[in-house]
Amino acid sequence: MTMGTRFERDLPDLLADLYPESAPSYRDDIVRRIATTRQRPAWTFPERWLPMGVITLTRQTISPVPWRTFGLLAALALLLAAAMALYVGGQRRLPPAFGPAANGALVVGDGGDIYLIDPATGDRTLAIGGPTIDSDPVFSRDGTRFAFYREDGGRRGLFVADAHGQGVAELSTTGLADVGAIDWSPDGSSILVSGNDTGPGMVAIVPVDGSAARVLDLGIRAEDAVWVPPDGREILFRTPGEVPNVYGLVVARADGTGSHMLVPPPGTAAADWSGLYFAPSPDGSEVAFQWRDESGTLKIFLVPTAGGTPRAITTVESVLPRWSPDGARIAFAGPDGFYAVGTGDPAPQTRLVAGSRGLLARWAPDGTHLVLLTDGGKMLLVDPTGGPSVEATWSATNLPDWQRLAAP
Amino acid sequence: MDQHGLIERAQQGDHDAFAELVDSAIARLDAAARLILRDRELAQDAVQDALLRAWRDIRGLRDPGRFDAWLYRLTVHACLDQARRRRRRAVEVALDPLHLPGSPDSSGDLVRRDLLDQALRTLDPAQRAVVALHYLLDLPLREVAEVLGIPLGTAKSRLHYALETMRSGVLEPPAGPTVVPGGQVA
Repeated sequence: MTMGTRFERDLPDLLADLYPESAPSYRDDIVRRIATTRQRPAWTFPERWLPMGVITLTRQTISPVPWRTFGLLAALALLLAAAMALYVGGQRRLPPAFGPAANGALVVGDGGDIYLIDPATGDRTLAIGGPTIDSDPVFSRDGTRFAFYREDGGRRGLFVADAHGQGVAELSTTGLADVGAIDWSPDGSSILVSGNDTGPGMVAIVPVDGSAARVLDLGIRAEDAVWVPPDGREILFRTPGEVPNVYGLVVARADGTGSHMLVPPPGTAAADWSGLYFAPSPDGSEVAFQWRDESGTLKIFLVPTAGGTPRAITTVESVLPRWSPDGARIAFAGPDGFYAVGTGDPAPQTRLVAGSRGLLARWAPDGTHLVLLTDGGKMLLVDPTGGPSVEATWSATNLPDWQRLAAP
Repeated sequence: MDQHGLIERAQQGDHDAFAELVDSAIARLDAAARLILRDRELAQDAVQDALLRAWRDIRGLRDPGRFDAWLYRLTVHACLDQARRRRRRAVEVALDPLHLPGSPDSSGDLVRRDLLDQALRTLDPAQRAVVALHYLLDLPLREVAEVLGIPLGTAKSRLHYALETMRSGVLEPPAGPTVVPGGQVA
């Protein structure tokens, strides 16, 4: 046995001697604090904590397919891809980065591959396939490309492809750890990537031309960072406070300088900001976020991006605010259904879907409806004015992203 | 009651059940946090943060079979948060003194532990987290990667670097008194 292997064999004992396990004296203090700490309701978790790490993607065993059938299917796929390419490629004008736009294709990661879906027909086309695990596609704001994550042999990287899934290129993510959220810059030249509440709190700007990523030196932990509309000169992110489980929202310049706390405003008593989800308005003037009020109820609040006093716009317990493209409404989830509320004052509140059927939703770019992923795995097309919801003709296991196109 | 039963009760708001879960985990979480942070008070803060968060968010835990791994993840990230805050404040904190006899005639094991302790100081908290999870909490490397949310290759390289550092620190100690057989110092 070499000295090295003996060292490794002895290491657990050496460490156990250095750091012996003993019941610490603060155990009672923790138990006392727990007795006065509210639990977060189960329904407020958009994705209940998944079994960690590698989600095993079982690839189906495909029975032998007769060549004639295979050829026919391939031809059909080519035709579909060509039709999709014509459909997408024919749109020469580009939509604005924020605000209403025409509805294009849907893109969704499913089973380690990425698909495009034509929402009008429900046709689903494989855009990115192969043995790699590709996931989390997000369209650029002008709809010409999408970014996605690819895992290959334990390595995870950020990639871009054009809107048809062609021209796949890897972006530089050297030195970035555990980032998940993707937010395209308004001009489409870069992507803001950041971690969530269990990652290292890193934010970086990744240029889509393949040049090196730049990690922002914010001086504080940052989660779920997004660009502030309309020009992306600033970014907005969540940061954990000094008190456990209390979070704040911070605005900083896009170069990482000039951080200032947006909420809680100065002098405001810190509440339990558990699960602080937020979204800037399409014009960037306000930020919607969820916060417990004095009674302990989670509500949606609005605060000017430039700073000011937050105002509650919901009356029921509410989480996960989603702005409509025109900024006139905010959709949110409640314990007994899915709602929309006007952003004016007063703000009329409408329950769109009864029952706790799902939390994850996305507005269509034209604002005429929302797509809601239900707990049962179905896609509901929800009328934001309160009309009847209908089940989509297409299906996906994850919430798709919607391509924005120039309005006709 | 088994752990699954306690978790289910805790998910229904049962404080006593969660207290039992705390009792079964707190000693090893505290040891791991002390290794990662090398500061008793910061480790205490990190474990308290992690356990409070676990209580708050336990209803979001879909698979009770992953409770331990989930708790490790919360603890490690609370530790890395504490380390980040400490760095930000640029406050020098006293490192945990190693409880070694002051006399120079320590046994070989004590000297090795001292050298190991010195080597651990040269690692950053993220590297010590890999060491804590793998060698103190006995997690396979794949689970270490999952807990830390990093690719397996990254976990392997961090562990490799940490091992090399510790090994060279222990087997090739810095110039100083030479340990001779029998634990005497020359």
